[in-house]
Amino acid sequence: MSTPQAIQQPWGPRVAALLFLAAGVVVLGWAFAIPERATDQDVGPRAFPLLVGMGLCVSATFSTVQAFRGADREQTEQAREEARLTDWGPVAALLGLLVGYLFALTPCGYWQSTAVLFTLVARVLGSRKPLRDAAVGLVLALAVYILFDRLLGIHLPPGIIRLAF
Amino acid sequence: MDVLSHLTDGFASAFSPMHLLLAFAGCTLGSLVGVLPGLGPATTVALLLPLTYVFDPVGALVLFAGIYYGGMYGGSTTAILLNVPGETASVPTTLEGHPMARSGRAGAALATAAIGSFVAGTISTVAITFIGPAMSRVAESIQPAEYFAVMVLAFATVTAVVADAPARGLCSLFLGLAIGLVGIDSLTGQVRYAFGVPELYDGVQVVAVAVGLFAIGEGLYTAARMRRAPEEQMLPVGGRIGMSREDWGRSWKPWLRGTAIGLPIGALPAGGAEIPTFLSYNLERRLSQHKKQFGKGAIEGVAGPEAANNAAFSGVLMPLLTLGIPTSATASVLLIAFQMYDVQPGPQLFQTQSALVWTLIASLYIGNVMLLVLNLPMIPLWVRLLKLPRPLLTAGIIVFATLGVYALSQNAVDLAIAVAFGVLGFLMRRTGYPVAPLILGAVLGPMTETQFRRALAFSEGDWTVFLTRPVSAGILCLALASLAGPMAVRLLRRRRSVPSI
Repeated sequence: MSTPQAIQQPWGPRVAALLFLAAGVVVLGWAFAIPERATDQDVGPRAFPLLVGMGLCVSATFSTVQAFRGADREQTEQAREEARLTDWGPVAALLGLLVGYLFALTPCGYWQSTAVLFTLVARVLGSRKPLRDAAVGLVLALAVYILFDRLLGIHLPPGIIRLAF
Repeated sequence: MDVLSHLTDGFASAFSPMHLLLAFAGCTLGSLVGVLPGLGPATTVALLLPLTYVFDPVGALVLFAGIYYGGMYGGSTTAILLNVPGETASVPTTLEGHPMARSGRAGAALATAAIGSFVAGTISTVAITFIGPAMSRVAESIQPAEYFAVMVLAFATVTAVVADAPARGLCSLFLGLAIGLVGIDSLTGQVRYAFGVPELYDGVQVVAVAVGLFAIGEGLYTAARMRRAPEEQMLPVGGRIGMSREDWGRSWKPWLRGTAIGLPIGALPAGGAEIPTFLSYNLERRLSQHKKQFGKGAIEGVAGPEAANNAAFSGVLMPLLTLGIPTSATASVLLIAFQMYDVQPGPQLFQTQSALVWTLIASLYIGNVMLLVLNLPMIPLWVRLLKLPRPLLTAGIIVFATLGVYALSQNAVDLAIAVAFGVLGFLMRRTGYPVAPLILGAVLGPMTETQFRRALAFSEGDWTVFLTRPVSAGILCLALASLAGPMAVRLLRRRRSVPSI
């Protein structure tokens, strides 16, 4: 895999195909763990998962072979173009924010964490007006919180700093 | 007339002030969100799903009928003014609509898209009104083996349409089916693929999958490309929105032809909207007296495909309501909205939920009129929304996406699932894997398995039942042909070394 041509191959298709293959192995492998009662004639809970697992394994194997050979020219072209235009920094930052939000939501409260999320996401996506973003984020988060939690009765975590009403 | 009296009742219910307001809100919200670049109708409906928690089933579905049409309509606006197709079905619109906008004829392009959509939508709704009940009576007599075959056909066509390489589409489809397997098996109570996580016993929430794949995936995609990809330039609407006498003359036939193509294909439990829009585009190019204008802004190339798109969109409601089978990504998300209310579309729907169905159908008529009368003059206003800073728009999308998922069951597991599917959707998009088969598989998988096992129970475990029953065998052959057909064409083409399009 050290020839110049191999280096030029974008890695996206290979990663994607291998992920599908891994999923296929998991689906198929765990299908055997589903207990099937041999007594009755009906098809039990294992048959369909077996079919799905086999289907996923077969099509993912095809995809993997194609991706490693670079046989699917259209896919290779698209992946190369995407790779050229991709900046991984913002993607990682956005993902980090979302994961942080997941954990912050319950302890810190809905509107507090959402206001912060909004401000930081706007920042990651290139906004250079943090004060404006924070103001918009706060108003939006409070509006959503009041609308859902107080008016519509869909509970959202209140957090430490509670609203006065 | 039975149908007419039902329809009258439906209109009576749809014309209540509350439902009118909801239909209006739906159209407005749908076009507002749909006009955002990159947000196609499926994403729009997925993003607005949390609204269903708030209303009663009838009100929510009236709202969603409006969002469904509005989202598609907003999508064509983006296709024309920004050259960004919200989904594959809008590609032909960008081919002619954007050049029209560039030469200062955006007003005519938007008008022919809107009026064409209205014509197609209304004709298709009339068809649903009269054919729907009959189709649901036919659907009632369908046996499990045939039901299973029809679902396989729907899977095959959605998979074949979206990807040129069937292996990629099939990966996506089978992964979707696998997602549908997670949780307690409805027939035996056996827990499958929960990996010890109690939150998964009820299955993976399809809302989280849809919002993750579409909305969060879109956010990640925007983040990845924001620095290096050139930002799309938005064209001004220049002039009033309307058509000249010549535009009318060149538009009305493509509208009707588009409807004639889109409606039957959409109404088959195998349709989707992609095939009819491309068929209509090619047909108009062949028939047009202005062939040289094609590629440079021929109005026929907007009128036909837009009508076909809308007709197919309405047609898709037929298998959705009478069989419970969605045949496009958007219809899958719509089915999720139904299921949130424990309303299961299918053969019994017209009987058990008669009031709901007919109110929904009446609101389709009303939604079509509203879109034309209220939204056409308001397009310049929606377009102004696009002038908001992009970082704020994307941040807003992320906030609403997470809200929708969290509000669903108020736990962070669903949110984590949505983020994971956001990453998956992002990777799939970058590497050419279609997401429509995945969401279709996840939504329809459980029902497919049920019919599969019922069929085998009837045949006492004989697996040949799907091939020995003629109707089922025929449908399965069709499914195989729709998957293998495009591949065969490609092989032939390569052998003759004819450059592919």
